[in-house]
Amino acid sequence: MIFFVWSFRARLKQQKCVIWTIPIILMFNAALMGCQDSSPENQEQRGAKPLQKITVAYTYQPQSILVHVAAAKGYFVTEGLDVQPLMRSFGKAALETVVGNQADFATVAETPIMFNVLKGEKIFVLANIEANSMNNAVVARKGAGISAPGDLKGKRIGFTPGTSGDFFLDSLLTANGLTRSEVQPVAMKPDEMQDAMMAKKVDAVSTWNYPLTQISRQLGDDGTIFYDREIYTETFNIAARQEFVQNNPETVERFLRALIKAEDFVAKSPDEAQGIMSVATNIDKDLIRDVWNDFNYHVVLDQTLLLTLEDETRWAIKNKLTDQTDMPDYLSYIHLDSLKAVKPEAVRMSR
Amino acid sequence: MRITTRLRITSTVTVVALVILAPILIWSFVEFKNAKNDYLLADTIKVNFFERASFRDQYFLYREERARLLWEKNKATADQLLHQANSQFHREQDRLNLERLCKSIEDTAVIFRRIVNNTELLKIAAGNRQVYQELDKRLYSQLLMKAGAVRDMATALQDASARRIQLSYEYMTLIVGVFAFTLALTTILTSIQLDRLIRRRLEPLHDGAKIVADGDLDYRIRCKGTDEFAELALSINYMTESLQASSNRLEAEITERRQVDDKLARAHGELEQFTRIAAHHLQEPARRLVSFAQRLHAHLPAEQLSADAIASLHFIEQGAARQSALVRDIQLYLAADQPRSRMETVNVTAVIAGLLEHKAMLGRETAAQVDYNDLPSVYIDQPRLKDIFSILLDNALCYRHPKLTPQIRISGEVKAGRAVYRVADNGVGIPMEYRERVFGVFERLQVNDDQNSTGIGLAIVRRIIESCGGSVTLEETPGGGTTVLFDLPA
Repeated sequence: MIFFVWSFRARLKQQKCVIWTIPIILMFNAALMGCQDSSPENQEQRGAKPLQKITVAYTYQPQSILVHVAAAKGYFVTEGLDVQPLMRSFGKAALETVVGNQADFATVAETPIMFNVLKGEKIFVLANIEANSMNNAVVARKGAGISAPGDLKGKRIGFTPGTSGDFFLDSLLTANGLTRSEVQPVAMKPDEMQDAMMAKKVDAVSTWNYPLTQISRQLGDDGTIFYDREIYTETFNIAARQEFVQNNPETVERFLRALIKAEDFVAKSPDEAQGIMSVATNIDKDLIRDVWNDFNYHVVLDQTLLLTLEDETRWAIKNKLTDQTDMPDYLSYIHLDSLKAVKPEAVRMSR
Repeated sequence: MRITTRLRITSTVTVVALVILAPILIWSFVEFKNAKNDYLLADTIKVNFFERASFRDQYFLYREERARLLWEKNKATADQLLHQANSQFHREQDRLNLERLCKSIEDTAVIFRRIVNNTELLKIAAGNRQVYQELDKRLYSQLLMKAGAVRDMATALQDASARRIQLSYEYMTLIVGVFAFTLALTTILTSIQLDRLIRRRLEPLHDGAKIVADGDLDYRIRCKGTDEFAELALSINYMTESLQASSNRLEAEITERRQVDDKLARAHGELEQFTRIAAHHLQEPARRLVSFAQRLHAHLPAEQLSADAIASLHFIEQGAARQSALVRDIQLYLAADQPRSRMETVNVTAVIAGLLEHKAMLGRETAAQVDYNDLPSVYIDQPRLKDIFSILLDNALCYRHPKLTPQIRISGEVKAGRAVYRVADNGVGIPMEYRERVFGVFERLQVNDDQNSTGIGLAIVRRIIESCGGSVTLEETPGGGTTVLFDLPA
C-alpha cells in the first residue's frame, strides 16, 4: 500500500501518467465497495417494508428459549416479522393452536407431533430447536414408599396423555421391568400435577421442567426424581401447517433465521439469555440456571427426530393409542428446504 | 530525486512488503498444516466410529462376546483419539463439537453396556420377557440416535477442518498472489518509471555529447534537477570546457610549432642550397688543379723535373682528383632523397646490364662474375636506381677477396608490394660490429686503404632507399663475403 501511495504521488508529480492512476482508483473503489455490508437485514432496513404479522404459539418451558430470546432481542423484527405470541403451558397445547389455525408456528415436543400426524393433520416440522435426555423424569414422593423406580409398581402416577411425559413414563417403566398395567396411570394436565402431588392424589408424576424441578423442590426431602437419560431423547421443534409453509416460504426462512440468531446469542450469552427467560416466563432465574445445562439449544434437523417419532409411533400403535396400524412416512412431514436455505450445515438428515 | 534514492525507496518498499507478508505466509502455512492434521484426526475418529458401528451391529445380530470385546476395544481406541483431539483442537467451535462428540460417545457406551446387561437379563427373564425385549429395542433406538450424534459431530469436526484447510489454502494463494503482484507491480512500475526517466534525461545528454563530439566545443548541455543525469551533464560540460581549453592550447602550440618548422625548413633549404653551391664551386678549383697539374707535367721536359717535383705534381693531381670525387659524392648524397628524373617502373635487370657494360673494363680486370637474371622491376627514378647498384657493384669489386675470383649474385623477389633485393659477394666481408657503422658518411673499413673510396657510398645507398620508404641491412654471405639486403617499392 505504501508503494501505491508513493507511486501515486510520483505520478501526480510528473502529471503525465494519469492512466496509471485509473486502475489504482478502481481497486480502491472496489475495496470500499467490498467493505460495505450487504446483509439481508440491511437490505430489509433500506427497503423499509412493513413488518409481516405472524402468530407463534410457544411455551413457558425451557425448550422454547430460542423463541423467547428472538422475541426479546428483536431478531424477528429485524427479519421483518411482527410476532404475536400465543403462550401455552406445554407444547401439545401450542400445537393445537397451529392445527386449529390460530397460530402459524408452534414450539412442541415430538410426541404431540407424532399423535397429530397419526390423526392425519397436515403439519410440517421445520426445525428441531432443542434436544435433551434429562428434561423428562418421574418425580415421586418417598412418603408413598417410592425410593427406586421399581417401587412405582402399583403406584398412582400422574401424566399428561399424548405428551412426551406419557412416552417417558412408559419408557421408564419398561427400563425397570414394569408395564403400564402394573401401575395406576392418572391422566392430568401439567398445571394440575403440582397440586395433585401436594394433595397426595398421586404418588408420582411424569413431567418436565420447569414443573419437574418445582415439584421436586416443593416436596423437599420427601421427593425423589427418576431420570433415565439412556431410554429417551426428547426433541422440541418448530411445527407449522403444511399449507402455511408452502404459501409462505420466505416467512418461514425469516422465522428460522431469527431463531438461528437467538441460538448464537444463547451460546454466547447464556446468563443474559437466562435473564430474558426469567423475565418472559416469570420463573426464578435460579431455577432456570439449575436446569440450564440439561438442554442443547441448536436449530437443526437430524436423525434423532425421525428415530424418536418412529419409536413413539411403534409405542402408540402397540399400546393402541392410535387407530393407525402402519408407520407413516415422517420424512414427508419434515420440511428440510427452509432450514437448508438459511443454515445448510444444520440439516443432517438425508431424504 | 536521485535515481539511487528512487531505487532505495523501491527496495525498501519491497523489503517492507516481504517483511509483512512473510510472517503472514508462515502463519498461513502453519494454519494449513494444523488444519490438515485436524482433518486427518477427525477422519480417523470417523473411521473409528464406523468400525464401532460395525461391531455394534454384529453384536445385535448374534449377541456374541467377540463382537462386544471388539466394540470395547474400539471404544478404548476412541478414548485415545479423543484425548489426542482434546490437545489438538483449540478453536471454540471445534472444542464445542469435540465436547458434544465425547458426550455422545460416552452416551453410546453407556447405552451399549446397558443393552449388554439387558441381554443377560433376557437370558434369564421369564414372565416379563416382553418388557426386556421392548427395552432392548428402545435402548437400541437411543443408541442409534447417539451414534448419529457421534457421526454428526465427527463430521462437523472434519468439515470444520476441511473448511480451514480450504481457507488456509485460499489465504496462502491470496498471500502468494499479493506477494507476486506486489513484486511484479513494483518491478514493472519502477522499470517503466526509470525507463521514462532515463529516456527523458538521457536524450539531452546523448544529443549534447554528439554535438560536442562533432566539434562544437562551445555547446553546453542544459542540466536540471539533482539526479545522476544532472551530475553527468555537469561532468560532460566540465569535460567539454577542459577539452576546449586544451584544444585552444594545442592549437596555439601547433601554430608555434609550424612557425618553428617553417623556419627550420627554410634554414635547412638554405643550408642545402649553400652546400650544393659550395660543392659546385669546390668542384671547379679541383678540376682546375688536376688540369693545370697535368698541363704542367706535360709542358715541362722530363729531364728538367726532379723526382721530387714529379712526385709533388702527382700528389697535387691525386689530391685534386680525390677532392673532386668527394665533392661529387657529397653532391650525390645531398641529392639522394629527391628523384633526379621522372618516377617510373624501371627494369632493374636492364639497368644492371647497362652498369656492367659501363664497368666492363673493371670487370675484366677483376674477372668478376655477376649473376643477375630476372630481377623484379621497381618504381623509382632511374638515376638513383643506377647509383644504388653502381655503388654496391663498386663496393663488391673494390673489397673483393684477394685470393678469390669475385662472384656477385644479385637476386630479387616481390613481397607485400615491395621489391626485395639481395646483392651478395664473396669479398672480404664486413665484421658484425661495423655493419651499421659503414652506413655513416665518410665511414670506411680502413682509413688508409688503397681503394679509391670516399666513404659515402653506403650512406648514399641508405639515403636513397629510406627516402623511398625502404630499409637496408648487411648480412654475411654464406661461405664469406657481404650480402646487402634492401627493398624498394615494386
